[in-house]
Amino acid sequence: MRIAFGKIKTRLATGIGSTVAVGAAAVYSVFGAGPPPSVTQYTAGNAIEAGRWLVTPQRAWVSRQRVYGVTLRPGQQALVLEADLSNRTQASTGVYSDLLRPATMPGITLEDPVVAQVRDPKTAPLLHPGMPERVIYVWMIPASATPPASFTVDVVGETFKPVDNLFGTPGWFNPAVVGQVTLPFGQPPAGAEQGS
Amino acid sequence: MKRRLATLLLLAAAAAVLFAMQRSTPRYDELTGPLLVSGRMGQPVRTRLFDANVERVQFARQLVYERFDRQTVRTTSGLWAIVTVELSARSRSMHVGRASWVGPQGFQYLLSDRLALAPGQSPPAIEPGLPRRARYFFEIRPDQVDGAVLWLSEHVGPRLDSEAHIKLDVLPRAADGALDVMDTFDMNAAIKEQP
Repeated sequence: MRIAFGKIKTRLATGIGSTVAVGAAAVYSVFGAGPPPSVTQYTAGNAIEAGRWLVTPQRAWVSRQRVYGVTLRPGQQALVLEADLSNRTQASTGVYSDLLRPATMPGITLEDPVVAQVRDPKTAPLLHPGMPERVIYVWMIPASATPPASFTVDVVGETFKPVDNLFGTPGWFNPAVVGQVTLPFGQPPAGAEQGS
Repeated sequence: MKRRLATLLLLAAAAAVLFAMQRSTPRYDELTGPLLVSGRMGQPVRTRLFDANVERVQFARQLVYERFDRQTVRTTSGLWAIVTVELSARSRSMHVGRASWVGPQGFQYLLSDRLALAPGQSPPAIEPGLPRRARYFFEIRPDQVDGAVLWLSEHVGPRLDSEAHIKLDVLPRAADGALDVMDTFDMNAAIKEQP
């Protein structure tokens, strides 16, 4: 009797851990399978706080010409998004190419965007703290592709850590989608396109 | 009883000391950071590799220069700050390639990158015994003018090397004390008058 009881006790003891593990895994998979949490939707003119940047998307258009000094190769067209960027960090920086991430469009693969300043045609400008500048993001796509009627873009923000775990330096980490902007493809502003 | 209390007190004191030591340990970043050499305008600041003497600070709303025989105008949403520095190397030829305008709250404005192909805008090369003037151009917010400091070093983020921090305390003022801001600064003319 004593031996049998001891056996049961041992079995119970060894079983508890795995039971908890299986239960936790089940709970996680049940919650993980649900729909992804909805992101905040924005339209043109909304200021969006995204980590390093305060970004205000203005308009989007499809271009087949040189736009603000960004040249297209033959057989290319460009999806252009105009936005105001304000540097919220302590120092001048040019880290903004991962800020806007277009939603997947059927049949179109996108490369990294070219960013140009509107004030004078300068690609990849350095933006200074607290001095908002208007820039354009240009994504090249094949001229044969048909762009959709509107442009949906995820805004990706990072979080500031005063001390990182590796070097003990401050930095921006953990990119996450903080909002989604939908802009109709419209007409370019006057003076944006300068022939090809 | 008394003994136990003493032990507890001793333990608490040890914990407090250890906590303080953990909190005050300098980070790797601070241990290997730049070695600051501070100074002010009008006096030479001597770092390991170069001497710097800030002669003049000017402000302008726009810059004008000629590029390929065409007049180019550079506007800004803030102010252009123009810092004239006399530089000379101490032991070897070098470039003072990194300059930043650091405002009173610590905002760091790096050299403007919008003046490509403007005259005199390559990082100034300096030689030992041959002092020369260099001009640095920054785009700053108008509220970053007072109490600013110029940081100069050979490279980005010097490690265990000196970095000059020069207080910019002599600013151009009009008779009524307001900041003197030029409408236009001609970079070509400035180069000619002060090679």
